[in-house]
Amino acid sequence: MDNTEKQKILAEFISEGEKEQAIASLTTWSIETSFKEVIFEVLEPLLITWGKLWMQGKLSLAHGYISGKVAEEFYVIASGNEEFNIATKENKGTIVLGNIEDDFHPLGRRLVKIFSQAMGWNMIDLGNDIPAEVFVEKAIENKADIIAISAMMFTTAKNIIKVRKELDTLKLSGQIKLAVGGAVFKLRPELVTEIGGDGTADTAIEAPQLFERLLKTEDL
Amino acid sequence: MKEKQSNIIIIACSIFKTEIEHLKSEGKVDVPVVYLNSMLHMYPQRLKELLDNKLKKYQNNKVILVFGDCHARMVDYEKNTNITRTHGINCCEIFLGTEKYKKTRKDGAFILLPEWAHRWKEVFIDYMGFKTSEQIKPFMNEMHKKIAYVDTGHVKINYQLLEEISTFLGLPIEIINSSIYELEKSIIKLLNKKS
Repeated sequence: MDNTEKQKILAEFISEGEKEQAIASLTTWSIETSFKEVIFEVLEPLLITWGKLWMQGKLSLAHGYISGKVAEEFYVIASGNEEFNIATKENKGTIVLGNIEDDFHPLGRRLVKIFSQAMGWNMIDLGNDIPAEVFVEKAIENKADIIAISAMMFTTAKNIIKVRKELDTLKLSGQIKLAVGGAVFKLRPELVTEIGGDGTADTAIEAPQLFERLLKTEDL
Repeated sequence: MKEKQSNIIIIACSIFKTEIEHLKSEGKVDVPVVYLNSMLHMYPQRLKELLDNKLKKYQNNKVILVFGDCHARMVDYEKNTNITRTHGINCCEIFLGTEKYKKTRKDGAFILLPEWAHRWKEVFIDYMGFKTSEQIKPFMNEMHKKIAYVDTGHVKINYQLLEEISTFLGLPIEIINSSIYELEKSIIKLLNKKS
């Protein structure tokens, strides 16, 4: 069975809400080939495709949630595999993550945490409805490289400006990068710079790549 | 008042229909109201397209939008001086008022309004896509501690239905009383402004 076929089977299990079957299949395929191959050639391509479909409103919330849970639980299983660990487990940096003040939509944030942790980022999840000063305080306390903030709506996304101002005031802009994400940024891309963000990712699974790009970015 | 308000139209989410119709029956709202299906909440882009079309259709009217910040460009409508929108991030805040809404959310509640309670299978099964209780329980429990059903005083409480929802979602349900004062205040303020 090739990896495309495996992706189809996995998609079917997740669509039917068969989380345990999906994880069992991923595990079996990993034993037959390798965890590294199954994660990078089966699971992640499917999650990227699904993330894009979800953003286009072509997949349900349940698909997003169940695929995230499958990934979360399978990454835990894979973390016991030496080869996968070597490929992904170097400490890439520390990220303070949360939903901005007045925002109570945690699904995207939780998926970002799952995928980023699996890729070697130390994630400090502050939760929902986090005021700007708490983001910055926790970033300083944990020597974070990045503050990653999720907001679903325009009204709440505007609160992220306060984080940028706080970073500017403390002369930490450039030193601590500001990643932003959520449905509103996909539909209103100019908002990323308007609220002082250093970058965004279209889907949760693309967040780890964004974080790597941000740390490579030269400060102006 | 009738003459002054003759050019005004309200475009509202159907989540408010029962309560706005009550305000109409009392003569507090005396303008035409057009409702859009509240399930569009799940599809912000589709909501935007439909609202854009409605606003084009009523471009010669003064329009009051009874919506929250329900799609990415909702706030932009208000740049047009003929269009105003009710205050509130979403329908729950419009009903409850800012203070009560924020407290309820901070208490970890999933806020359930009467229209969605009656359409709960559509909401959770058809639109959110959770086919069974076993699928949705962990999702709801990871994010919420309880369901807060908002009793607006204009829809008879169906306790059996609420129990059914509570069982399906795996969360305790509590009823919070809310008059339609906040909604009424918000609409009347905009009607007066537009007159």
